[in-house]
Amino acid sequence: MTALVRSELLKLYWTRATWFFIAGAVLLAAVRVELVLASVGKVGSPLRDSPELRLTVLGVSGSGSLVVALLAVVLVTREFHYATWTSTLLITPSRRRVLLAKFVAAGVLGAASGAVLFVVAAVLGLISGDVTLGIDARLVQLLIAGVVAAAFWAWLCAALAALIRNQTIALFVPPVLMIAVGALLPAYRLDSIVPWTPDGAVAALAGAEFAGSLPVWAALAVLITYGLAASLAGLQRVQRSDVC
Amino acid sequence: MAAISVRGLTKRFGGVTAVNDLSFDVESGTITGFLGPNGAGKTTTLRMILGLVHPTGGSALVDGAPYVQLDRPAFTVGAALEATGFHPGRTARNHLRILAHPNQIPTHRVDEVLEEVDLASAARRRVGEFSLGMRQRLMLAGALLGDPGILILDEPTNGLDPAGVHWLREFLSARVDRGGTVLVSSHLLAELAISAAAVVIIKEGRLVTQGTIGDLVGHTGSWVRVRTPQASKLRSMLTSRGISAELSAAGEVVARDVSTQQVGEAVAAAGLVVYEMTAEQRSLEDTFLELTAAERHRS
Repeated sequence: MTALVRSELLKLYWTRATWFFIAGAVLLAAVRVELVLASVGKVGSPLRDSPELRLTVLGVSGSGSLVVALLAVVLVTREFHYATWTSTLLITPSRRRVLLAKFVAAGVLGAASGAVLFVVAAVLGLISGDVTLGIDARLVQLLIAGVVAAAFWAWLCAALAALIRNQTIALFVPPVLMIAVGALLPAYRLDSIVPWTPDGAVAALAGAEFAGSLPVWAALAVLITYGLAASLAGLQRVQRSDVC
Repeated sequence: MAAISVRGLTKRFGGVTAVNDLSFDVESGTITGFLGPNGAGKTTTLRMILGLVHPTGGSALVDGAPYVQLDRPAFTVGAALEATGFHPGRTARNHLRILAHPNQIPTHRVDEVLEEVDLASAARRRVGEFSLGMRQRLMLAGALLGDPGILILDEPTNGLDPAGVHWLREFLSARVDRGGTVLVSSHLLAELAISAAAVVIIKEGRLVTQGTIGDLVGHTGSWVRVRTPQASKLRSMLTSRGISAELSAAGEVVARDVSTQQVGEAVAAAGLVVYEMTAEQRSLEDTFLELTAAERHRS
């Protein structure tokens, strides 16, 4: 299995698009952080050196996870898009193992990217002089939450991509799950569902407090449930399909 | 034990039966041609053998086991299907390294197979820049990574120039000489007639016939065509010697199942004038067209 995961990571490493995606993720996170820092001192914005500013700066770095999730989608769908699925299965006929390796690789990609995005946000915050980053339990929680959330989004989106298979359609999954759902549910007065959505559980993982927010352990359980359900559905689809 | 054994293989896509109760064996140490008209079910059959398409019924064994149950199949069987399964942004070498990695095949083997298929100079070029012929060679290189005893190739000559076709023939023959087995589907019947020892012919998903090229072609039709101004006399004389002979529309004598030596001796004994004498044999293409046409009439 290790060799399979490494093979999936090599596929990412040896594809130029990967580096464009990662650069895009860092850029998006950096822009979001800079926008927050630019608003410091304005009405309704966090104060300089405040814990809220630290939380906001480190929190918005997670926006880069959207681009990483798109890359996780491509990790799966390009096998079908370029018909490389055939040669992949000829070398490793067990579709379950191949897909599992892809999900693990997506998770590793997400976790590593989450850590990088967190560091980028922290460095920009420190450079601005507006953010104080004392190493404490809260910072560690934010770091772990950022890494786990990025890994989760990449895993979930890769699993849903295996279910959908069509690259164009699958690329809509990350923005819908990570942006649209969180925005639309309150608009339709479905706030009670929000804590149980992936977006709500990710927020709870970072220690955000809102109406009905779940404890960290429950948020983690919710994320794992979503990931497993999507993985099983994706696996079922791939197992049953013919590679013509 | 047959290298590849197909028993009662059936595949239905909705209401369409692509492969229907197909059974055949591919003997070890041979090149076996897999023939059929377009839409006969060749590619579907190969993909079922390789575990890519789930059969509706029947089974296919490679080296005694279903492909999906082979432990590290790259070392048992190499397959090259259509030359489209490449990420265009990757180099040829990296494409192969990705395939090599899960089977712990070392990188030097990647360089070896690139050398074998004559792609060493293009190893660091992106596959998107490759011609169809180069992609065919790269696909073959992927099949060779584990140096398997069995090769399954689907239309490997597509996109190859005459020199490439010649190279492939020599290459496959060399592998068989070393004890390898090749199952190859191709439209180039003349090419298969040269390189293959046996053929499996299917049509509309069903087996039409299976056998050696000799069985199918050699014994079913050879004749000597003689151009002579004394055709009637020659025909009568051959018939009197128990040789089946007839006059063709062009006024030539066609003697069946006989050698040029026998006809030559008969001509000399009778003191006849002969302008031309040609030994002819039915080609694999003639046999293929006849067999598949016969199937069409039957169905």
